[in-house]
Amino acid sequence: MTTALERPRGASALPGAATRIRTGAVQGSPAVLSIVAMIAIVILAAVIQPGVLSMNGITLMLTAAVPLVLATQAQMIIMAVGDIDLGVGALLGLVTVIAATVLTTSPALGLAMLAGIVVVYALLGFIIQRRGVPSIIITLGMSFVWLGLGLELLPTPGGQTPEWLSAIGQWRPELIPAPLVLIAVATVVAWLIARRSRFGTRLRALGSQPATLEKLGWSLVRTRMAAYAVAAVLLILAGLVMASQTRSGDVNSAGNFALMTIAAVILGGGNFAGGRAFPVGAAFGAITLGLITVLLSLVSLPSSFQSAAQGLIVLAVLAGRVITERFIRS
Amino acid sequence: MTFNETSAIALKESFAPKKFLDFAMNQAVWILLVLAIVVMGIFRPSFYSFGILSNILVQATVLGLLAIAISMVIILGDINLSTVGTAGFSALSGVLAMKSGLPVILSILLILVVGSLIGLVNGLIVTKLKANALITTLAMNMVLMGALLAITGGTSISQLPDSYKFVSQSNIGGFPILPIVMFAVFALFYVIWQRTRFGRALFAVGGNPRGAYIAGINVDRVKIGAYVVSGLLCGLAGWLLSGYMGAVTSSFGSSYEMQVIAAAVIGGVSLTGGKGSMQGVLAGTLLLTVIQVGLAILGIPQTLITLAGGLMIFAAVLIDALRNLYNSRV
Repeated sequence: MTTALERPRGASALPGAATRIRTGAVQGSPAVLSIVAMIAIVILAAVIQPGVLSMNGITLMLTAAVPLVLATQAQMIIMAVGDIDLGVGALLGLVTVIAATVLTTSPALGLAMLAGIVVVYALLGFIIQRRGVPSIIITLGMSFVWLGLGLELLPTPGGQTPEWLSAIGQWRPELIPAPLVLIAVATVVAWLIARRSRFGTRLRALGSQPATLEKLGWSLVRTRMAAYAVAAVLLILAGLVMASQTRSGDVNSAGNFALMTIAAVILGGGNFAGGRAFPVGAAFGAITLGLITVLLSLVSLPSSFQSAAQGLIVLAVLAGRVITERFIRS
Repeated sequence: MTFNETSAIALKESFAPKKFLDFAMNQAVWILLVLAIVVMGIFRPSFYSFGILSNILVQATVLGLLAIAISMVIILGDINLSTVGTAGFSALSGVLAMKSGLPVILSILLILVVGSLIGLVNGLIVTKLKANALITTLAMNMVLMGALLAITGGTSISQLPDSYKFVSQSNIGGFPILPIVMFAVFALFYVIWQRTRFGRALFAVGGNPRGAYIAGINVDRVKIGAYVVSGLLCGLAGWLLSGYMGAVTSSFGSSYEMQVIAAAVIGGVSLTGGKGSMQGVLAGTLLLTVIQVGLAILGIPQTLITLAGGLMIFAAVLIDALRNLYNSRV
């Protein structure tokens, strides 16, 4: 994938912003689909329930999307190096459990556990690069481990998050809806990491041209370990935000996040082969999928139908991507 | 490791310990299975009772059928995450048809047809739309499980006629029928994989799709065929599980979701495609079941058994790594 958008960010190779926006508009940026889908859903929701466009409405609608956006940025980084993380849902669940139990009773131990997760993720990167084991297997195996640990700490949903964490969930600034601020911060951070830093260039190179990266003298093992560690930090933040909103822990609270984050990355212009990272597209993708859940409850679809509807929407997204890509190419 | 390599090594170094190590490396899963059975027996002599051993085989049947189903797709280099959803949804449609008056034998047939049709849809999406198999089948699973939940409304459909449950619950001379079905299906697929043109084509497409295409294999047709057979096996597993439980529940078979992939991977089916054997899948299935049932008998809490399932995947990765290391040294 060597389009104008994918060029390394060296000073000479970088086309001007205006050029990039123009080519993006003419050729169709891969992220366009997610923006169009999001606008369509917001309009639809506003028609059904005009209240959603107020401050409170936006806050309510977007609250659930914040952890999804953070987790999607993590998944985007993993997918940029050509891997897939199927363990995100269970890990987020575990983080909420840690936040609602250990982090309250003995903060130091809680922080140590969260740091342990980052170390484990770096090790996963090491195993995947060194042994050539597919990431799907490793992360699927880890999802059992996270789930088992979470159930061991807190067999039934409950617990109590620390005061400072709950305060973040209660934060309501006057001018801008709080979720919008958090989403923007998460996206900008991911954008700086994935598209503005040298590290981001190495990430994408590892996904698309690992041989070249190695010839340039970079360690593939260390790059993949770093990618996994950064993803782990984002996932922990996502789990903490989730816990701050519910103020309790539940290992099953993010059950469908693996599917949702992958779908959001794809919707936002990412691909399975690796080498692509579009933080803004991924964020719009995640918001879109988060809003779909809200929309489904607005049209008062019974909650038992929602899982099926979400699955169908993901299939539709997939088909939409295939069709738009073909359209752009022709 | 092919026979040629084995014999070459045997010629090079023909003393006994070497031969033994060679054997141990290539039959690691079977050796672990024997080891697991011996260890369980030491802790609980009652493990060797006919009741428990035949119970393990009964438990292994559904897992084994689903593991073959997923292996049919993994061998192509794709993955099918909708096995459990397919099993549940097809069993539900058959049971509902039976409840509204369809004869039992036709209902069972309907289950198999519905399973195959779901496989066909998966296959068409993956080949004709060129969508990624992982997310297609993950979304398909969500649709099917969601539909199961929506249609059953969270309750379970029970009171199934005895003729429907016959295969799942009856004995021949004191020996349950279910394991016989399992071994028969494994034998059948051993023959299909090793001795038929379709089986050869599966390996060819999985190992090198472009080479297979040049060699005159209709890649799309082979893939669609594999997905249909996969769906058919899921339907079969769904029928047997619903007969065994005597009901279709809203969370039908979800305990198998992760184990299915683990069984195939532990059995040495390579996720990159083109590598694997039915003996391996059988060994993986039995090993996983023995450990699960064994730990439950030893009184280990369910949460830790979940964790053990995840660690098993790492054990499989480790075994594979050791085997590769050993084979490359020789």
